[in-house]
Amino acid sequence: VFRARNCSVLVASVRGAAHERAGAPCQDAYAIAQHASGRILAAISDGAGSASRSHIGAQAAVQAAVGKAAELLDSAANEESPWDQQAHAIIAAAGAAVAAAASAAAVEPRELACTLTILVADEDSLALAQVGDGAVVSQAGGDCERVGAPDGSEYLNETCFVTNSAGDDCTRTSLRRGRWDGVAMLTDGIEPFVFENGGVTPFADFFAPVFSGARDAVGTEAAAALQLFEMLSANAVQDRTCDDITLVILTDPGPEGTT
Amino acid sequence: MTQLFGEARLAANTDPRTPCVLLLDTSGSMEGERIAALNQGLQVLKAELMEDSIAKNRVEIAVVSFSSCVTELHDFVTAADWAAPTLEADGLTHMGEGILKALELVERRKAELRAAHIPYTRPWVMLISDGEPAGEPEHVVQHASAELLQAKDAKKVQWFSVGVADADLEAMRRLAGGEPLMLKGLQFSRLFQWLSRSLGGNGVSGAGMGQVVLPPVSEWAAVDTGF
Repeated sequence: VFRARNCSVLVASVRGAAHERAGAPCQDAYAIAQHASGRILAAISDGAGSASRSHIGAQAAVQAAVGKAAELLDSAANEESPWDQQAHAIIAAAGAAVAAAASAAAVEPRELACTLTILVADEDSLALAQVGDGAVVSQAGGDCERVGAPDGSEYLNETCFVTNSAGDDCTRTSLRRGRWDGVAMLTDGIEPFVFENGGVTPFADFFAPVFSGARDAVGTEAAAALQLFEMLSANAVQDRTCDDITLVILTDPGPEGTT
Repeated sequence: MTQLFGEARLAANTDPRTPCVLLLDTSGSMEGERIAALNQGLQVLKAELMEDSIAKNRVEIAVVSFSSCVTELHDFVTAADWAAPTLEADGLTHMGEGILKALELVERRKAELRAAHIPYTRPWVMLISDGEPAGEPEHVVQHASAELLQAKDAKKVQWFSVGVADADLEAMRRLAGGEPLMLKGLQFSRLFQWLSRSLGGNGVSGAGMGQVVLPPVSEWAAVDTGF
């Protein structure tokens, strides 16, 4: 939790009840940084339930993704290259970091299988790259919209991972231009419950209060993050999902709809 | 500090579903203690699913029985609303026709869930039989087998074949592919406890790329082939 220039960040990551019962760690991970240019770099990852050390993979993936995104921004030449190209370089770096972590642990890369969502945000653009499930929602002028398309897998529990071979590349990228007031990034533990129309339409009764609460929290982020954690741990959520949940909220502290 | 997020609500009726067809042999050879044990096992499945506060709203059960005819005892219903049927045994073993019915139900349910924008995991079918196909034309059996193997290849369904007592596992393997398991004695209760736990765990996301994490089958299967 930190306050960056022109942007406030809240994060809550809750271990799912199923993992708690099984004595498994939270398999979600996140990494957030601010680049010298002022851009926010935020990554979230969900380690696969079927992989024994996916929490290590998720951690390696988010750190490598944020690191690679920062490195690309450092170079003026890269700043001009199309986002799609940068996105693939970031995902490749994350995949390599997970493979290296697997090698260090002397296990197959699939034992560290994890999804990845990486966002590079500045005040008038949101650049997104994703492998597997997870979602990003933007709010502008009171309207919420999903950034990028939902994961195309037919089955909820069978998604793509950064450990997939290069021939099976299922990276999705998107670039949203325009001012924004808030951005939410979330893992699939809560994804089915905060969208309508098959994952296309953000559920307003969830996102409007969350963005509004986050804006009221500017200056008291630590206490607000605890409240976010408590909200995600409450029965209303835990009666619906037993999976890990990670939620990252970025807000522009300016008045709604303006900067 | 005031409650910042107290107003946030989740969308209703979007709970992901795991459809499961129980494809059950009710031919004459199942009569007596076998069908009694199976009926008791179905009650155990109901009770176990009700113990799991999340699975009871996610797992959807449909029951198809096959003997001299195939009967769709009921369409998919969430475990919370499911009443375990009491089966009676009589007649021949139209297993091929039963397989086709199960595949049809699965595809129909997926289409309904897609239309309703409800996410789902790969559907399960559990075939339980103490015999092999009997009393139906060979071409029906061949057709059912081809359709099933194609559906499994296309990841349309997660299929489990369980043999009981005199079941011909080799015939089941030829028909349904994979590795059929033999039930230890008449341990249907253990089998359905396992099924409940597996279906519950199946709802946990991230199983990924066709890998489904299952508890060990050693409590109810005569040979643990580690599927």
